[in-house]
Amino acid sequence: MTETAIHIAGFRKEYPAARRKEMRLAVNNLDLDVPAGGLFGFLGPNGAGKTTTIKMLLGFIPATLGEASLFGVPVEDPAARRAVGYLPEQPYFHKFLTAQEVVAAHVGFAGAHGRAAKEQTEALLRRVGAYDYRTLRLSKCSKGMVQRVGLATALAGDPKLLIMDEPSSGLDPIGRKELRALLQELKDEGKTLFISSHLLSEMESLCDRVAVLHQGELVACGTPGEITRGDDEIAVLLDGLDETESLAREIATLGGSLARQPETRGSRLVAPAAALYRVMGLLEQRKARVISVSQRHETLEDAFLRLVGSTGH
Amino acid sequence: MQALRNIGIIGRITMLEGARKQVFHVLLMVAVVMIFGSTVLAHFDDKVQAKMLADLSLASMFFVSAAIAITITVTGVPGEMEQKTVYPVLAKAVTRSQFVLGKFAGAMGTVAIGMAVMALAFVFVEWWFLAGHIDFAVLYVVPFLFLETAILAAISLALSTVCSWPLAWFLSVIVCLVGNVKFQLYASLMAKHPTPFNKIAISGFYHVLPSLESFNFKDALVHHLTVPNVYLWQTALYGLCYTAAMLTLASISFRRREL
Repeated sequence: MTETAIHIAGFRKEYPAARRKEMRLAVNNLDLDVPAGGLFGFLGPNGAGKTTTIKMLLGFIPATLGEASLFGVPVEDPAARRAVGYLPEQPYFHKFLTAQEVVAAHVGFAGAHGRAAKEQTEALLRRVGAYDYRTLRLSKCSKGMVQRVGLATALAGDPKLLIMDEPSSGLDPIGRKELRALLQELKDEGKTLFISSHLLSEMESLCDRVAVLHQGELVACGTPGEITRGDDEIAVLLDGLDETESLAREIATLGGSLARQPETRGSRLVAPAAALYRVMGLLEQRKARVISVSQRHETLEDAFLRLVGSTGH
Repeated sequence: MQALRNIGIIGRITMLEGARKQVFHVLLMVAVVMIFGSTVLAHFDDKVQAKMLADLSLASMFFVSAAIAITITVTGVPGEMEQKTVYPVLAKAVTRSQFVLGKFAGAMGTVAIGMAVMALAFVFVEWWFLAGHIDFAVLYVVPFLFLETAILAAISLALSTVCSWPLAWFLSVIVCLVGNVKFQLYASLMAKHPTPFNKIAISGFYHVLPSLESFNFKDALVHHLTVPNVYLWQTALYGLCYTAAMLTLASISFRRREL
């Protein structure tokens, strides 16, 4: 049986709103199980409740209702965090410390001391590519450099579970590529990665499972393949259709849709790929002029927008 | 053991932060200038000069140490919360009590550095201007000043976990002032407001507020009085218990805070 890294049952969080008498609901009735091993994407628009959930998991704020555990240890117990590495969205460290001092402190919190701590600190700095500027104060480092230091602190103590809030925030394209490689490496080592991110294209290629949170509620959870629509679609661009209403009705019976495009004076037809030949037959009967036919598969980004709406509200 | 290590790491970071603050350097300079400045009283005879020197120097040491301790502790926890530097630390297996104790240890480490500098300046000035005379009573007067500062730091820390830092700073200063005149204030208020309700209220405040005056052995140093060992031990024990109680309150209060 697969071990559960994160177990959340009925999480609810209410905050006092601007007017103290009212309460604002940040997370509502969230149930989630994250299996150990692999990369779990925690997705949602801004204000969906992702960071609040992470804060409750790390014991920063108590849940109004519900409970959670990390590898079976309740999150209220500080021992639950022994197996956890955390990387916040913005690197929050004392700017007067050097990269080496910050990582050494976190290696110390993880239980190492003496020579072993020194060796681990150096190894971590090398692993995230921060070794060359280890003696530089963080106030003199760029955002990307500090983010690498943050990664090193999250990896201190070789945690089984890594909780990362927008880990590629502040990284340049090369840094992002290196981060993807590092995440893949950590995944291959059997670690559990719980990542909150907006970069859905990155998540799609890396994630084993994803959960989509919207307005504090879980709207989808599963593998990217389960969340995206399994059937491919065809999109047909048409020119100069005189009468579209009856055709639209027939296309609708096939599970598709037809919409006029006033800017091109044409129409766009979308239908399941399986209905391609029947659609083409209908178009031939109507003597419709086909400009283009394309086939597409729903991406995680499409699924995300479908689930939360294009505005995220 | 790991708990002590965690406290030590947080303490070290707090100490580095405190020692790099400009306010620390300025306060320390003010104290050293005041200690050296007390030598302008050289036109008095030796006895008066020694008394004035000890009086002014120890007063400067206390007020500067108290200012450093209150400033560091009152901004320590709220500052970490505001700048969110508390997140990566508490995301590890570090308890909130360890965090509070670490902040306190760091603040007291910074105070210890400052106090050591001021004590050395005082001993040097005494030795230089009083023809090689050093009063070794300073060896117990300074540690008791340190303990008095520790009580103030623990109170400030506890206050900073329940109210905004400016309010915590203001209340800490009030406690510092009232704690140093507690006995006289108690006697005066009891005489002026003799109703039973007032007596209970005044008595309550009297017992809750720290008796900071008990840690002041300035007069003993100045007048070469011998302080009984039992009194010294009792005072030290009182100081340690009061500090421990305040730190416990600070830990409980911080555990309930939402970050």
